[in-house]
Amino acid sequence: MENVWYLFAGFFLTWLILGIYLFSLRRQIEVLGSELASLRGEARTSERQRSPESATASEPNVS
Amino acid sequence: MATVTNTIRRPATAAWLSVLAALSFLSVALSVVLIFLYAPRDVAQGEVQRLFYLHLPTAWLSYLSFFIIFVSSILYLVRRHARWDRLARSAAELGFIFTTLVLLTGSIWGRPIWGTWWTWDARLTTTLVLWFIYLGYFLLRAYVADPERGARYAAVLGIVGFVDIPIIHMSVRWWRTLHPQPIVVRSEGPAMPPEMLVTVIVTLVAFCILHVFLLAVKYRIETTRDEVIELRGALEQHG
Amino acid sequence: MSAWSQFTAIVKRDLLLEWRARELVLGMLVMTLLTLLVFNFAFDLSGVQRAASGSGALWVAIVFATLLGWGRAVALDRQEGAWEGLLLSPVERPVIFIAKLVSMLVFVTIVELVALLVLAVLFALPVLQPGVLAVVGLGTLGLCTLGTLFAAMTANVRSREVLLPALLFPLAVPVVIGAVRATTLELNGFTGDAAPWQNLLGGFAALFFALGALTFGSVTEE
Repeated sequence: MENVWYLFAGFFLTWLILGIYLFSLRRQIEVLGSELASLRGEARTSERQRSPESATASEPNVS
Repeated sequence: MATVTNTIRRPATAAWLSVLAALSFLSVALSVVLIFLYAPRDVAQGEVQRLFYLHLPTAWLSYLSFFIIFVSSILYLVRRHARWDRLARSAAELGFIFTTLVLLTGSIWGRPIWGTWWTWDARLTTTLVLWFIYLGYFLLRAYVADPERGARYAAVLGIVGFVDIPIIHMSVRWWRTLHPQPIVVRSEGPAMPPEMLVTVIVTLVAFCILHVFLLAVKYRIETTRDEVIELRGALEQHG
Repeated sequence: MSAWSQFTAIVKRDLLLEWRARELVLGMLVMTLLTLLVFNFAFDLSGVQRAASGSGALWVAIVFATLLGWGRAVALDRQEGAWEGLLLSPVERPVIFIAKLVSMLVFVTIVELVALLVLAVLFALPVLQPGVLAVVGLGTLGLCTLGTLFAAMTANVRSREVLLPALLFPLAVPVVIGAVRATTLELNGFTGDAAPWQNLLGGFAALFFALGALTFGSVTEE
């Protein structure tokens, strides 16, 4: 019955690794999302500076 | 200014992704229940044999991921559309994780059964080589400075690697079987009782759904990453 | 210029340059001989098991020498923009691939012949028989087809010395397994048993020759 330790170790490690991966994916989403938002803000302000009369606010495709 | 080249196709909406997430969680939970409460105890190996239910799906998925890399690589070289490279990158990361899991579960399962943490049996060895091919894939992408070249090179590696895998498998198997084995390993009994079969299938399906979910999430992340790079480049140009 | 004359022109140039400089072949040769020497101390190449250890030593030496050779060849090519010039010329990519492959094969074959002589003389291994020579030829062909492709890929990459082996070793596993097994069997006189391994090596070389020629264009799109 000592083998049960191996069983639990195996399951624990598997879910741990998958969990860590999911967590890292979440972090990637947050980091990239905020970076994208700030870049888009910069883009809008720079465009407004270059063509202040232009009425078209050409937004990139938004989800 | 903002139209990015290679129009980034907006993948699944958040709702679709949440459904997939819920489905993954539920099916995996169900499979865990089956693994521990429904599947019978293995006569020869005892409770430890239940690790097999993790080992098999992760093995399938590590190979499936490389197949996805293979197909995306061909499509990328032919069509040169960014989405195929994104798919390849995403599948590569996922595949590497699953391959690591195969090796870990195999090793942990093997220790009580074979008495050793590692054995150079055909399947484990082939999986180890696959693990190194995945590693080479990441190293290649990391070291090549230009992203377009990196994508092209990685695509060639994806194609060559995938074609090589069955040959590696065959050569490793001959290497082991054309010489006497010190230990004979039987990972499954003569016939699998139906409860075991059901558990295997449910777990396999659950992991496949999980795989699709993770792939979709990773793909979205890569899409966003590409958008960030494009925007940054465009901003630097126009100041 | 026809493809054939382009091919011969490239190969002749590579051979001529090497004949003048001689650094590539000499470097590979030194590496091979030293590897065999170290292996002799590590594994006793003159003992009873020497067919197996000798064959292993030979192939490790060939693999390391080939890696070294590719690294040097690629660096030499990129001196003074010779490589870029070649890519800009109207030569078809598969022709360049085959030409580079053949040049490297010539260099490696020279090194291997010396290594085989050393094994025959110093370690009394019956390597100079058609079976062994066939295996060495097929194995080398397999290694070099992969090597030509990935050397071109890693040419301009930093840490090429690390990346090329990292890519090549796992992919070349069938060649190493097959070549060592077949060489050991041939050395021990079991020519029949070596046949499936020889077929594997031959098939591998043919397959990756074709795949390499096809994908070489994608790799050299500079």
